Amino acid sequence: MKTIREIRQQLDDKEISAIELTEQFLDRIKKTNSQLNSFITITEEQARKQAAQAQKDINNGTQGRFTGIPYAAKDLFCTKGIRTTAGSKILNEYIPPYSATAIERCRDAVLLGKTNLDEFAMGSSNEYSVFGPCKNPYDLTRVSGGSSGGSAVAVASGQTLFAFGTDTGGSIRQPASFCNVVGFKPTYGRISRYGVIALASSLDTVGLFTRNIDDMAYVLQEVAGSDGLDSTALEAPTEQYSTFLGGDIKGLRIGIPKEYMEVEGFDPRIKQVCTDAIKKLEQLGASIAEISLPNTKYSLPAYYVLNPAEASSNLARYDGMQYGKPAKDTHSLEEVFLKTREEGFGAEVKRRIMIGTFCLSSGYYDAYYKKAQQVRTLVKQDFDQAFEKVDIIFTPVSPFVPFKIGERMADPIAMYLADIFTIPADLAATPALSLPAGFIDGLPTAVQIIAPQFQEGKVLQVSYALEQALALQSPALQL
Amino acid sequence: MLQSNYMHTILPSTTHLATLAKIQLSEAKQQSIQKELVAILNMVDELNTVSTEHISPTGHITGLQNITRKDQENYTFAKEDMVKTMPETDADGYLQVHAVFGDNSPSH
Repeated sequence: MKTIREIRQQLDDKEISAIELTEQFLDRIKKTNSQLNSFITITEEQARKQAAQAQKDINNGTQGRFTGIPYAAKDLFCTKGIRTTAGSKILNEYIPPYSATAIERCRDAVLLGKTNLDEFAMGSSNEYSVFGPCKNPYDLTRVSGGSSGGSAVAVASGQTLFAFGTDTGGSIRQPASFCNVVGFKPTYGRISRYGVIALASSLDTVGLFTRNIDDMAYVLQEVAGSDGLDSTALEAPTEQYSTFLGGDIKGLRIGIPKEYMEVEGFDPRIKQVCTDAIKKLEQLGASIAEISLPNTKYSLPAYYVLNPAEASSNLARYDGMQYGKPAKDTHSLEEVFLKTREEGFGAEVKRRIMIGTFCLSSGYYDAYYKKAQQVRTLVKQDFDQAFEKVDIIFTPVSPFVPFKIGERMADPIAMYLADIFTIPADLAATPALSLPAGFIDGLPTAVQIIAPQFQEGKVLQVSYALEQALALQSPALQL
Repeated sequence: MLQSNYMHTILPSTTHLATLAKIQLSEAKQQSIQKELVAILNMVDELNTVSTEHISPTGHITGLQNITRKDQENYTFAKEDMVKTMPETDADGYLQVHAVFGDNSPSH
């Protein structure tokens, strides 16, 4: 498996043309998409144009680090002139007049298409997409994870070199763990959110899927940084991420939160994968200590107030006026709103809007939204205190292996539990990475590396060391 | 004071919530969603076992404050591009909607 840096070299040395490279990936998408359902829109024509332009730039010697590199984006990122659906019926025909900043930063790269997701990024299995579930490439009867399922699958199955996702409660890390790819949610605001369709604004974080840590450092370098169009994008100078790779981790203090290991329903086989990875880290010279994040169990309930509340506000704009095709046969404005939203939103979106509306309604705001925000403070304080004692926190990503399609659909709470290990890092807004760490009966599983806010470099350093030490052998895909 | 197990009892009617959320729901859907909302609120109810007296709520998480930009026009969209994004327009490129003031107009 070549790294993006190696492919960059090949392009620059003209061992392969940008056009050939793009065709290879388009071919792979065409051969596999009917089985995987990872792409909602394949931007074949635009990709060919971009590749031709890239080759011109390479011939002229004016190429950048991304020129001609194929990528994909979750269909939550606005792409100028290219349909952007958010996996929802209500945006089925929406064509944005501008591109997200993240997409703009990949101007020289080649966009292959827009990937499948749970509707408005609400879900943990990709089953809530109006375009149907995305399939796990290691077992087509199982889910990809979600909400950024399509992006995870696209990288895992060789349909693209990297892909954008978003992580609000685990929507990058959980599908990454289900699909055997690297998934990184950096610090909140590290990558601009401008032009990314909003779910829960205090939590939504743009991140990436890659095949390995080297690629992650390479891509993050290009897309991270402040943005005049997003006031929450971080001003802090971004690091040269690649310089963190290869450094030794001797003496680094790694904490294992005891509360995570005691979670009910945690698959003991995944626990064993964690234990094995911890041993590797010890062999690399890190010191391992048990730590406590005492408010862990309140993360999930706090999240399921904050997320629906913010979502209910953000989704008010889909009303058949500002966005969304208005319902037919209506007689008043009010009826347009009511019917458009009834017809355009799926079951999970309706649930969250209703819960959020309730939590924000007069008389209940303090008991729910404010309460959840206070609990968020406690969760953040847990992390702050833990990071006084350790440099890195190590945890599992998912309590279970990829589940069967349909298995958790009927029970929203069972679906919510999929994010029990990923939500706390969203509440604390710390960078957190899902690193493939093993297979259980042929199904992928992963471990999570978390650092204090703004320390993406440290996450990459430890993840790279562990990735090299594990030297994971993946089973070949039958695709 | 810690409170628990009271939330599900105060869930307002789904009809009222649906009106607030501006989503029309069939009778059958209202009943199924009521059960789901109660289950979710019971799960969320656990928050009431945490004491949060004197704890400030977290609104923004990375410590940014008073982020401003110059008060300059920064609008580069062509009118026709924006009109194209409108769900329904009339011949002059105006957003087409039902009459705002009428018998069934929204009550706000």
